[in-house]
Amino acid sequence: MSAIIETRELSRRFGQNLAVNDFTMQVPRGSIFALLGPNGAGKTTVIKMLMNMIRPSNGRASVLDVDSLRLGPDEMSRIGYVSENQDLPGWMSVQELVDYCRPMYPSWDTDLCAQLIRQFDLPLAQKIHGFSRGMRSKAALLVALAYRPELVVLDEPFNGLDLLVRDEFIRGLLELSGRTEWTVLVASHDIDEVERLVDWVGVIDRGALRLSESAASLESRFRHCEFTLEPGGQLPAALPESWLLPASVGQRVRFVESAYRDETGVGRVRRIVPGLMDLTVNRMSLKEIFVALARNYRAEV
Amino acid sequence: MNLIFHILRKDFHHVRLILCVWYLLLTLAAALQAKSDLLLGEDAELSKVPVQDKEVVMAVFFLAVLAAVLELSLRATVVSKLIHDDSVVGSTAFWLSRPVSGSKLLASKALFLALTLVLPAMLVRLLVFSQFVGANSTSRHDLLAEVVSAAVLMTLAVLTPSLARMAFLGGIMAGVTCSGLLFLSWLAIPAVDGQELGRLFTDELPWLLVLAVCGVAICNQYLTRRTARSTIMAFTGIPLFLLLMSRHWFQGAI
Repeated sequence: MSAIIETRELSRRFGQNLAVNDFTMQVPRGSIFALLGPNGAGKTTVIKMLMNMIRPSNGRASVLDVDSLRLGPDEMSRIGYVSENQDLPGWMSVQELVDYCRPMYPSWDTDLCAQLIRQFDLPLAQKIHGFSRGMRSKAALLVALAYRPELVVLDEPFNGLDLLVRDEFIRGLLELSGRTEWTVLVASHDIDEVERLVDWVGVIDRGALRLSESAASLESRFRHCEFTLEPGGQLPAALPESWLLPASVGQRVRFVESAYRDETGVGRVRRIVPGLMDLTVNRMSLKEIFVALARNYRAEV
Repeated sequence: MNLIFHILRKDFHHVRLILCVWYLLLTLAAALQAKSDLLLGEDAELSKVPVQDKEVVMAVFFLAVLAAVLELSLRATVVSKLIHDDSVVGSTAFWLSRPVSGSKLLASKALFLALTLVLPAMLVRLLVFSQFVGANSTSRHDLLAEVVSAAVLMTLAVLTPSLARMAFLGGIMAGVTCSGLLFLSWLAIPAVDGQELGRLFTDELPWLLVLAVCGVAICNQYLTRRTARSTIMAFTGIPLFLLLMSRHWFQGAI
């Protein structure tokens, strides 16, 4: 699968602070890629470098097969960008915003635009500066999707949105995904927001990409394991590296297995801890996997 | 070209009301200045005005100054609205995520300023002064001043994200320039008298230099969005401007 976004050793320094450090990532074409990381991990900085809004200090990135520093009007007309930090022209009404944006895009789809306006329940005549945060996000999404971009870049699009608005937002994206050949890159600090959407996950921590993998692969290799040690039994001194966050309360031991295989997983645990009892192995949601990884990265510091 | 006019139309829609108020104030300020010039006479000396007319002349002069200050403030507000709406500082402006290049945005903004600020200001000045003072009362220098003021305001706007910051940067630049000028005039004493100081502002070369420096800083900012570099470029113009301004004072000494 070819990459629609590719970065190589991308770095960005703000004074003494290295916000992004040797960030190398590939976003497969056609995927819905979630770039996850805690607040301050460097997600927004990466996205701004990809969109040529800020320059990298080192390294390079390509978007739609063009160097990010050379992104021009042709490429921008194929990218839809929504960010919580983006300024919308507040003095315009939604109708004026649509009228302003439409002539810039040869691929503008009037029917889709009308459908999105109905779906998001946007008041056409009201000025944007009077909008709530949720309405502003929906207006931004409207003028980022109505021209059917090849690549949609969403930077923390759900921040401050209530559950209902968030659900409408995600439903809108999902409905369009079913009908449109596009790639979506969504940066978020909360996987809850994007779990329904994504098929590929990247985890960024302290400016570096720690993981990039398909959601299916992650879900197949991560398991929450729990067992009881036999009376007098002890855990081996050296546990496998793939066992994340091992913890024990009395004789009860729990950990996250990050290299689980259906055919050999249980046998492997029994080999490492002979004589264990009540072994339970449970599948993990993407949210649980993300939390386990984040806690593990924090424990490494 | 279509995109340039498309952005221009959007900008006109945005600032049309404040622009109308500015046109009124511009006309009023020009009329008051012309009247004040007429009352004060060619020498612009209050001592030569008959005693019974002095109060009227003073009142007109005061109103002319007030109107000029208000007009300049409103002009700065129009430029700020125009430029800061599509800011070239920072990374959050709406246009950055749209298929708009910096060069087209610059062309649109410059065209807008030329058509709605510089040209009307020149026309008002020409019409009002020819009506009150005489047919040839507006010099080439007065018209150049209109272009320079628009260029300076645009430069301040493209280097800042808001009207407040724009005023702050303008204050710093004006402060540095005035301090430099005072220092140079102090160095050149006794060569500098009142007449020499008056000549400073009719010499066109320094103002052409200001125009060139503003042009370079504005183009650099729109094409590269490297604000620190553009600001340095703008500040580099100050010593060059001062040198050109004060060159006559030191000609004898050299």
